[in-house]
Amino acid sequence: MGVCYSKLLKTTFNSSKYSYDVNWSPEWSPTPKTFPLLRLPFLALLEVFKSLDPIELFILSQCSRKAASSIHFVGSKKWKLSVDVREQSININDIYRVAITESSIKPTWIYDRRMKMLFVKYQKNENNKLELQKVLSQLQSAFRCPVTSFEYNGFWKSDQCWVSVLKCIVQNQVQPLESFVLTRSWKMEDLERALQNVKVSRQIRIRIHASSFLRLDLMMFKSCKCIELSFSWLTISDLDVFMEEWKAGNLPSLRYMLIRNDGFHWYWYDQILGFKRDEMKQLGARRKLVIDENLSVDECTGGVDIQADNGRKATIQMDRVSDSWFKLFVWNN
Amino acid sequence: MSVENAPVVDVDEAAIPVEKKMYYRFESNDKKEFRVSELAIQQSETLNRLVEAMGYTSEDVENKPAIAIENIDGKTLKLVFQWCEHHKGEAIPVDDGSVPKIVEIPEFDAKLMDIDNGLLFKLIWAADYLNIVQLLNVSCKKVANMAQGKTPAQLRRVYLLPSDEEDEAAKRAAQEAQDPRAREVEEEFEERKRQGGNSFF
Repeated sequence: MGVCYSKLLKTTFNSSKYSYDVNWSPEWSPTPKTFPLLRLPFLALLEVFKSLDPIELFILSQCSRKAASSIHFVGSKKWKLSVDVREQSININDIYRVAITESSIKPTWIYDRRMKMLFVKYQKNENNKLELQKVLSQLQSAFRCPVTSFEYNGFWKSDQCWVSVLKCIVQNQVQPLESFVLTRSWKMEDLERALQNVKVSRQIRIRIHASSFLRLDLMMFKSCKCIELSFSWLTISDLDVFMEEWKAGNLPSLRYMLIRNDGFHWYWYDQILGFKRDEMKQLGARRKLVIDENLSVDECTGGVDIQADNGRKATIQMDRVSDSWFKLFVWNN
Repeated sequence: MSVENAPVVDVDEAAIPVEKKMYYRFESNDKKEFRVSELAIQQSETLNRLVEAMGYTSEDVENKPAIAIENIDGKTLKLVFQWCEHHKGEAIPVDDGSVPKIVEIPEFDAKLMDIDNGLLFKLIWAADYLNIVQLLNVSCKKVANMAQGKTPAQLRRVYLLPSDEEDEAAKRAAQEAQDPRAREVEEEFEERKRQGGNSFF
């Protein structure tokens, strides 16, 4: 009497995980150096994907729509993207990098495994502003993961490409950005429109140089842990209103804020939470604020201690020399 | 009596009865028979649970027919059992979630898998079928290594990935084979979409 493995299997296991006799078909006629990847059983296919690094997975995703739609099986939660518009690059998990560069020859992709960097070279044409956006869409489509960080440092040249890239990000994900860093933009209406739509959970840093009369409503950043604004054109009165909101407990996430100005103009009646300028300039013990394991900010060197209605303790400090900055440090209880 | 105060006794190792190693007999679908040690079988979760459930004694193993593994041929099964014997007693690895997964292919495994891709394909199916975690890891790593340094076009050739057009054609052919009316409905739907209709019905 022969013992049939498959029959025994059915009687031994009640698990529905295995369907041995239904689709088990490893028949395939090989040709040298080819391998039918998508004909592997699901778990094996997953193992192959797990062994590929993110750049290799991305290259694989470009083979066909079917291949692209399989990549996310590895697990979308494993991936996050960071976009740097000026550098024309996208980082994956802060380790792997896709750099988009112009080329005079035909478009090529070169992967430097040692540097963990993929060079996407495209031919210069009128649509080259869209190249970063295109590659970002391809990455998001393959990995089905969010962009967590957006950075544009257009200090030396003005390029409105960042607006369309940011728009693309905001439209494609509900998850807020963790970090948003913007340095200089000539078109203020673009900036204001962008900031109306973008949501940031962790860190926002905006440095607008030579732009006129940018008085952003600070409350639009109320979900951030860390706010840094330079050349803000905000007034002491604006800061007072904002600090009243903080005191009332309407900014529970905020841990640090730095507002720079060419020089805050103080009128004799100006105060912030009832404190005069000189009170906030006092020297004191040096304290460092650690916001989270990857984010700490410069040291608090004095100022005046305050407390919100919910008991949260903080320190506000004004630049002692030229009134050019105002800082808020919110301490851990 | 505490452990520290217990008397030290010399043990005559020869006097201890050595447990006889148990070997199981398996038969491939092309009737090739293999004898595999109990410890080696533990590398396969499926076979291990199978032999546990069967509860064979040494006599049963000799007297009863070999356990048939219907879906794997002798050539593949030989590789599987060679691998299991070499790695017997080793712990079954657990995925630590690293990205990408770190898998080293030992020299023995590399030599074992120095085979044509057809046999490698069957080996992976067998490793998956028999739930041999580490064999699946190393064999899939070998497949992943084929992607190194390849462009999308090269990968398409190596991994035999159909293009979007080929996928579409295959889908249409499958639909037509199943239901000749399906294509007509789809074309009608596309036509209405082109005309700007919001609803098909």
